[in-house]
Amino acid sequence: MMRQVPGPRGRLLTAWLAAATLSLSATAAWAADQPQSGGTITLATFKEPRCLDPTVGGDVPQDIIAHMFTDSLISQTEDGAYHPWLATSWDVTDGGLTYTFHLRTDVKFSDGTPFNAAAVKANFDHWLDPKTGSANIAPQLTNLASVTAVNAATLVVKLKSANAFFLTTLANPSAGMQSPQAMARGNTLNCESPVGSGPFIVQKWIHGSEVIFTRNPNYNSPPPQALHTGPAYADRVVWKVIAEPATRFNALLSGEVGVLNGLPPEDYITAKSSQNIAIIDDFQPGVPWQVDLNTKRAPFNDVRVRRAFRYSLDAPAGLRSIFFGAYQPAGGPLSPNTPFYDAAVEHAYPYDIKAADKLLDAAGWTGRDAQGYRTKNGQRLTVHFPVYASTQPADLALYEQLQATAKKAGFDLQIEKQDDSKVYARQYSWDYDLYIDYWTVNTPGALTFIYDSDGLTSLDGGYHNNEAGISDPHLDALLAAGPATSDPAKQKQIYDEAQQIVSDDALAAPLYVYPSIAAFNTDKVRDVRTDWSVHSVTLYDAWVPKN
Amino acid sequence: MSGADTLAHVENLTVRFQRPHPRTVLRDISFTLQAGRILAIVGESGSGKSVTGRSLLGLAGAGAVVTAQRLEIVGQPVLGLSQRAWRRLRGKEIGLVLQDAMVSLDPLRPVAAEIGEVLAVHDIGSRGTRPARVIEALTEAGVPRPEERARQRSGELSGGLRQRALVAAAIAARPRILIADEPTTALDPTVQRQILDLLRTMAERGDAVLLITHDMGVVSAVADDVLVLKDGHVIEQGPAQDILRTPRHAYTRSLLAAVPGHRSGPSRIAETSDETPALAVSGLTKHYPRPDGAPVAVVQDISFTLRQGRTLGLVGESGAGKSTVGRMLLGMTEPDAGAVRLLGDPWSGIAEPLRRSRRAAIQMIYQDPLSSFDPRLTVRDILLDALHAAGLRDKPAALRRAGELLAQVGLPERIIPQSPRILSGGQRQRVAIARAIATNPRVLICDEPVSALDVITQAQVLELLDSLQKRLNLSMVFISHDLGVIGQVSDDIMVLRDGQVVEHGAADAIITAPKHPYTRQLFEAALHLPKAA
Amino acid sequence: MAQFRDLAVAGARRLATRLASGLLVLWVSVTLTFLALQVVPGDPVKIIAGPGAVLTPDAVAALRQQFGLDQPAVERYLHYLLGLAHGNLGMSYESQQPVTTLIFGQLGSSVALTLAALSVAWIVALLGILLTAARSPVWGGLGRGFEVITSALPDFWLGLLLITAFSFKLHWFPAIGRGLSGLILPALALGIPLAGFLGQITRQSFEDAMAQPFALSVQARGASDLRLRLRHALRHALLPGIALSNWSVGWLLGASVAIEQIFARRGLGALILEAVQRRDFPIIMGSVVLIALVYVLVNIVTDGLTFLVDRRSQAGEARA
Repeated sequence: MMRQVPGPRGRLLTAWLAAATLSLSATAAWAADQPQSGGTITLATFKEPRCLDPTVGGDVPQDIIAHMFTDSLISQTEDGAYHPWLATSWDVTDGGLTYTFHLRTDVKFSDGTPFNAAAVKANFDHWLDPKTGSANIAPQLTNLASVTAVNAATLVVKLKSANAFFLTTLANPSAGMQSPQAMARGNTLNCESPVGSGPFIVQKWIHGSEVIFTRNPNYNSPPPQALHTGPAYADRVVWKVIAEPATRFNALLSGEVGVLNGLPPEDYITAKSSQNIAIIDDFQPGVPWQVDLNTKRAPFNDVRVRRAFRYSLDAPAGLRSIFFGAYQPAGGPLSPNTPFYDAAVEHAYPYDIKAADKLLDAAGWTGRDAQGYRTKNGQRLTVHFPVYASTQPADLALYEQLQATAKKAGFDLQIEKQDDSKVYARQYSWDYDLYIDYWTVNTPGALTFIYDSDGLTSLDGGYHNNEAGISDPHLDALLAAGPATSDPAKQKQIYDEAQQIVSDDALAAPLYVYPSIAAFNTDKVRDVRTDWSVHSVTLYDAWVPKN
Repeated sequence: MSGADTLAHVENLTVRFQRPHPRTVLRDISFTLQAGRILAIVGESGSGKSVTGRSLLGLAGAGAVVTAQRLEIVGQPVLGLSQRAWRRLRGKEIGLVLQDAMVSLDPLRPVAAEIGEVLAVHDIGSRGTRPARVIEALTEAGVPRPEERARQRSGELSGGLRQRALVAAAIAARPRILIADEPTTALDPTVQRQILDLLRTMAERGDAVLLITHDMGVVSAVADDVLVLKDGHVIEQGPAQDILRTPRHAYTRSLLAAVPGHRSGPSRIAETSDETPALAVSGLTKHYPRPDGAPVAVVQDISFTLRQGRTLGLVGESGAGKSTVGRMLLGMTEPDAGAVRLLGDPWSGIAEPLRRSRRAAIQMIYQDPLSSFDPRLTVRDILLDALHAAGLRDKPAALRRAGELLAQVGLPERIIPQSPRILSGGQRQRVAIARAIATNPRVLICDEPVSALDVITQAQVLELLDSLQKRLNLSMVFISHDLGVIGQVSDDIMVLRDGQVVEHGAADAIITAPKHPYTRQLFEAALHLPKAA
Repeated sequence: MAQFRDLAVAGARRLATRLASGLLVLWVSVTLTFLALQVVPGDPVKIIAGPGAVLTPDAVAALRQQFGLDQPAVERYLHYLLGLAHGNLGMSYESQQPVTTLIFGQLGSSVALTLAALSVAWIVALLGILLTAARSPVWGGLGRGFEVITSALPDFWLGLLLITAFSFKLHWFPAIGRGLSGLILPALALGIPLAGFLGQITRQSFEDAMAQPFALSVQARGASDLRLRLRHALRHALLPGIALSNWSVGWLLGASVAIEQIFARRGLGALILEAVQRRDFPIIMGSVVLIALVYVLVNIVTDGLTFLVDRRSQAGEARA
């Protein structure tokens, strides 16, 4: 058969067809990049919240799920700046002692009750009610004087002393506004199905497995930094708990799960090199993951021994080998993305066995026993480190590496893995030399929590936040002055000095910055973004591509 | 045998095994099975008689090498037959009845299922017609109320009925050849008689029966032809009457002589009666509750006096209460009424701590010695254990005494380190006897001590007991269902039936002239040998 | 007919005895656990509040009263028993949800896995025995070897192996499975080691049964080897296996924590483990009650199964 050469008409036809196909596919591609309504987003995280009401107790899983179904009064952006949300504006008067909030009047909770000043007051009452047992908000509001609903759209809050980080607390998901009617049902019901004004509504909580959300069709109150307004795109969100890291990650790879909140460090490299996996690489502000040194008893009652201990640890090397470069080492008392972080103390104690040896010799630990550990007056230089039974294996591996380098300087670091409640009991009774610590909050107020002498006692002889056992009046004064002033230059000066003190005193040995790495499968979900108030993911703008 | 069908031809059958070591179990056996006749193959254990029967079924055993010049079943050559072809023959042309229906029928399944299985396997009849055939088979085997019995399991039937059910299972598909391997061993005499009569009936119907046994009494009762086996060889074969009356071979003669019969030699003269009796029993009674709660008298009002050095034979069928009496004499069971006195002192009804010190004086020997030994112990352990209990704690002295005991029971010293499991039945029973006399007892209770042994071994053990009794002046209570044995060993005989004494007196008197109809019935059922020519 | 009635009466009597003794077992378990928990260190109030909570003395008192912790031990014990009789197991300290809700929420998943694992175990064990028992020493050695190896496998190791091979690499099964497809891999991980145990004890009774005289009788009827194995020997061999299954149910129900974790399944194992670590007494007590109840019920079922397999224990046996 002869090959047919297209005639002039044929050539035109071909051209038209080509153009049409090109523009159609371009449209399709453009359309495919546009958010579409509908679909289910499945998110997997590693720990189940104890209760869905973010203020009962208040642990990290509760925090990161709260903005799914609540809005807060104030929103925050990456730079820490405050923006309106359910509060349209606010005035700070009386030298920081009085806050007057102007509230939106067109927002309803998903059970139909209106959002107003009375509702906000009810929330404050709920946070401070001992029955609620709030461990996150209540401790930050100890200096609250009064909360008054002037009218439906105006709320006045008076503090006993100025607190520059008061607004940060209100921006947090744990301060998400809940329906007073819902809260009145009591903890049992409110833990199962709390009610807020957020983009999604809690439909069902299957314990041990997942929480199911449905879209709130009447949602009209996104924060200003969101990409769109109106209801969320996805019909449904399934918030799953998958404890086993390998299972969790593989579910993401295969698409069974669309978003991973908490990428296992060992899978970081695989995720980075996968075509369809996008990574949100972030870490938590506040006090980093560290071990506090108990200054109340030997051997860490001697600052030379403490400093020697810090010199004998090589956390960065351990992190490289165990966490595959996914975790960033920490050297100072604050995490680098905390406001008023001071880089000056980041490398105060590089890994230096010789320096450690010098200090220990000076401190009198000159003897050596048969195993090579240092001794003084017949006593071995033992450091007791109780760790929870629920400690992640990777962390344990890190501690073992620290143990190895500490041994070179003559420390007998004993990692004592015990039942969680046994470990708590040891904390209560100061029976430890090292204790794990971290505090996630996007203000330097984290330092107060950890190092202020108020944190030495617990009101019922239990958990004491100040684990180093330090009581330094000068440090206390600095930490109290910080929030009291709103002059950034002064605050910088105060917090620089505070960080210097903590570092010089070697009150803690920071290990790594607590990561907040999320990943999502772009075949299954797009536009997963970060909620900066808690450094976790927000699904309000996320949508499910149809393919 | 003119006019009769030859249903099986066996010429020069030889069976060899390779494992655990190469050995020839049967050598050049030849015989035929004729319709309407019973051939008995008789020999001790290890003679190869069972293997003969099983070779006719192709079940000689794993690893058996079967060769023959001619091996035909109902005209079909079967040498080298495939398993599938064998399966077509088994059950349909040739049936098997084994010893002891308790374990030869699946105890978990109803008898009807067992009997019907051969029909199902050979596709005989349909599901609808098979139950009827099962009932028919039970009736042919002489089971009364067969519809009721068919639903029961072998454990729920009495010994005789069980054995009949076993026969029914073998004949359900109407095979022309029936092989019965020790079908009556350990059965009561009346039941034995019934089963043998049943086999006779089968033969009269036109089947050929191969009866395998160690008991010449059985042979004389029903066999038409006999084949005597020893160590796999044929010693003698021919018509039963000829061989029984005029045995040519010495071995055959020894088999005949071993049949327990009337005591040879004068009976012992009663000792003077002012000696303390070994056992004085009066009014012994024992009740056991039935499943529905009502008590039934297992032993009722038994009284006797056993004088020192004499033997009382306690005879009766199963369920007569003999073993219960034995346990009460031993002091292992407390009587509900009545008393036992041992050597003049109270024995029953007192606290065990008071009895313990005197236990050495009365010992027991059981039917199955293997289950009365701790399976982990060696002969040495068993004897040392008994001597320890008797007070001999010093090890070297005890070992020496153990050697003496073994010599007394005719066992070589080399068995001391061995486990009873590898000894023969006769050897085990000797060990049990050695253990019993280790404590220097005055009274010995023997509960069916020879019922499980073959006839030659039986005779040897009885001889041993006799000589021990004379030497050690033992008083014995000998319990058995076998009249021949009782007749041989007893000075006095007590006949029990359903827990009650039916007759009691001197052995001679009872044997020659039984008074009670039941006693007479028992004797009639016992297997007699024809008088020597 | 009379026979059936007698059987029914005897069966009913037996059932009643079992239930009565079951109640006794339940009561003893609850009491012993209660006593044990009194001695264990760890103040419930701190657990309820959560670590890091700041509590005023008033708040502490309020919590104590709310949870009835200000009452003396005897009163709490009686109160608990009373609640038990009404089906009320109290409130969890951790999540402040009713214990019954929490436990029953996890129960369905655990029960499904338990039954699936037990089925896998029986199927694998029986196949192994039918194929390799009472044959040549070579086969017997293979069968026994297989049983020894599988019974030594840790279930979590096997679970990781299975999920990595068949889910992550071959994609035959989803990583987090629902329904039947999600049950297969975890059931294999739990069932295969159990099959090893089951096989070992069943093998012995099977081989014993095959060596009995009735086996010869069956062969003499012309029955095939398969028929002998399936219809006769197997029944005799089942009894010890049924007893082992009895124990396995309780174990599978409560101890499959690692498997639940690996396969992202809900289940009692994780619930109980966490409750023990956090001294959440009501959940611990509730779990004990549940597991004791399960054992009692399973015992009754096992009794029934044993009777079905072997009628001898029930019917009267004529004296030989």
